[in-house]
Amino acid sequence: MPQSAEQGVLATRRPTETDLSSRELRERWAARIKREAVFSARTTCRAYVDSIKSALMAVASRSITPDAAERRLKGELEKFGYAPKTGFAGKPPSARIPPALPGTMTDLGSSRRIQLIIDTNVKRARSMGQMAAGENPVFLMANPAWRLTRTGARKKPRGDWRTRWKAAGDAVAWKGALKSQYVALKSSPIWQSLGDGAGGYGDALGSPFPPFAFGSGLAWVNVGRREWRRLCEAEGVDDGLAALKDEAKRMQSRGAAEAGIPAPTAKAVAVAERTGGKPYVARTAARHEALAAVGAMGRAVARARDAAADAQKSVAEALRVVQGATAFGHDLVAEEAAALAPLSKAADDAVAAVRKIRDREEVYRRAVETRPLPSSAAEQTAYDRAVSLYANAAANVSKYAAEVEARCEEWRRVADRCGAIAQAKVARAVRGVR
Amino acid sequence: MASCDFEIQMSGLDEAAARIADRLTPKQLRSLNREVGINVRERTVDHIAKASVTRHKTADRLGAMHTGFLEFAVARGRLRGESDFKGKLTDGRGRPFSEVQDISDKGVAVVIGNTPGLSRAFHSLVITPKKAKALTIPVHKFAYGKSVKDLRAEGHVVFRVGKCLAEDAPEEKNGIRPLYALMKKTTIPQDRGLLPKESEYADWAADTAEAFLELAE
Repeated sequence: MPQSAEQGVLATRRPTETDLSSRELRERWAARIKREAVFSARTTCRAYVDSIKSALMAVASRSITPDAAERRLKGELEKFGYAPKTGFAGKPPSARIPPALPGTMTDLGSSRRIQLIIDTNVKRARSMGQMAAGENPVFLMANPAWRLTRTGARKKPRGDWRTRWKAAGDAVAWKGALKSQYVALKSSPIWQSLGDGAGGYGDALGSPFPPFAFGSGLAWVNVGRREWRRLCEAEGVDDGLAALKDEAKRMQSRGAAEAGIPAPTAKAVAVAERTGGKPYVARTAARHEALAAVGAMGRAVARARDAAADAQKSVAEALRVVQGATAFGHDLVAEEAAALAPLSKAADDAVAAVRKIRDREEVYRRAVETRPLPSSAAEQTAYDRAVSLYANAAANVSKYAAEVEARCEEWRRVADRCGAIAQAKVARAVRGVR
Repeated sequence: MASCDFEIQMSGLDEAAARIADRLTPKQLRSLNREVGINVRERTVDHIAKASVTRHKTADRLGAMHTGFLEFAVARGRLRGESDFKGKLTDGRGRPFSEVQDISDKGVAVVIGNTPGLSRAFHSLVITPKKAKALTIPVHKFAYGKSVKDLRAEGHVVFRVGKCLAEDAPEEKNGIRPLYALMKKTTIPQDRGLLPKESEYADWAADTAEAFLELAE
């Protein structure tokens, strides 16, 4: 059975166990990892997180209702011996997870908690399915904007969406967004700003698509181009449709290139007129491979960038703990301090290195896309050689970025370990003092 | 509840598209109509999503959680594969979801539905039981969105009292809590607002035609 867009999105998400709180998750984990991983704050049992993913897939495929999914997950928790006060049976109680109050959101088995997990993850997958429709350039041009509107009734709706919208808009200078309504271009940075909780909202989920906060009943609906023009005119702002047209045309030619359809050029037409024959149909396999390599490079650089930022944050956090621990004596955490000393500069260097290569994707992509297609067999060889250079360069950068990512991951792990050990030593020292 | 597929036939577009129709080849017209079908499908699903917010009167009256049956319809409407044309998408029971069909240079059809409740957009519904002797209409928030079998699986002991199904509840008046009323039939009135108006379909077709032409320049 063909997989739905929702099921496809959920199937690629990896279950991840963690004992971090939701706010810490947002701060410590890159938004990209959150998009890729099915997670549940303060859930330390990997098998139960797998059960959550399986239940989400079943809800997405409509084979069970959310209520049935809730009953299934409660059964799983019972099977794993979970109790709110003591956690999962057989798992050492984590120092970071305080006992949960039964029936509250911190209780993994509460209906509120389970329904929130199901609701949030399935809605996120649906929003990504909506974004997938925007890959169609005609559809994007016909519906250039989103309106954030209520699609799920709530007994007690949040009353602060007006303030959130204003804070998100102020953070991005209202680029592509309207002040008077919750409407903005699909490419507007206001959506990411809203997802980041601009204005200090700790319940934001870090994604540029709905739901923008836990338990939110707001979702996107499309805004047609004529309605968008009318709204922009009423507010006296530029509608941004000219730039959108350029982007849509680029999407069209990318799609045509990937389908092996030659882009018509004036030169090809002139040759056909001169010779009276059919114009030369350029081979675009090398172009397609180069663009694929550039895309992979972009993704690798983004992963390296996220890993470097994570490593930097982890090292800084661990150093803070170690410096605080010196109040109990320099020898207490000497080992951890020595392990962390070289990592701080290393992480900063990694961040700077990735910053240098972050623009390469755009540069290479433009170079490949704007290169005119060959109009004869003789030109074909030179063309293939030229675009292959970009493919090779992109592959090299991808390899470098992967190395940076791996190193930064290791540094992050070391920093987290040192931070945790230092914290445990401090806790023991405090108990000793008391 | 009765379920239906409903089909939106788009043909002849509106005057904006009709003006340019003679400039397009039949192949281009087919492409345009395909894009119109995709837009109409997406926008119709958006409309149902918005409409679902105010379609939970019974749940609100009982103070119960919404079942989300219309949100399910929206979710089905958003389900699609890599392409609209790589075969039909089906649910677990082999029924089709939304799809764009019958694309030609004359027009396009969009099929959405096979979802209980959407047929109310066209006419009122008279619901009668298929196999059981009576319909079970929830009259308490515990019963809303659940069958008797679901409640029994949760540990409720449900029994018949006159023309209703109830459970023991010492804290309630008369010591029982009515859960369902038993009825031979029930009528659900037509709800035109569930689906978009014809003028909206024309607007969406015109948006698509404008976008299509602009990209073709």
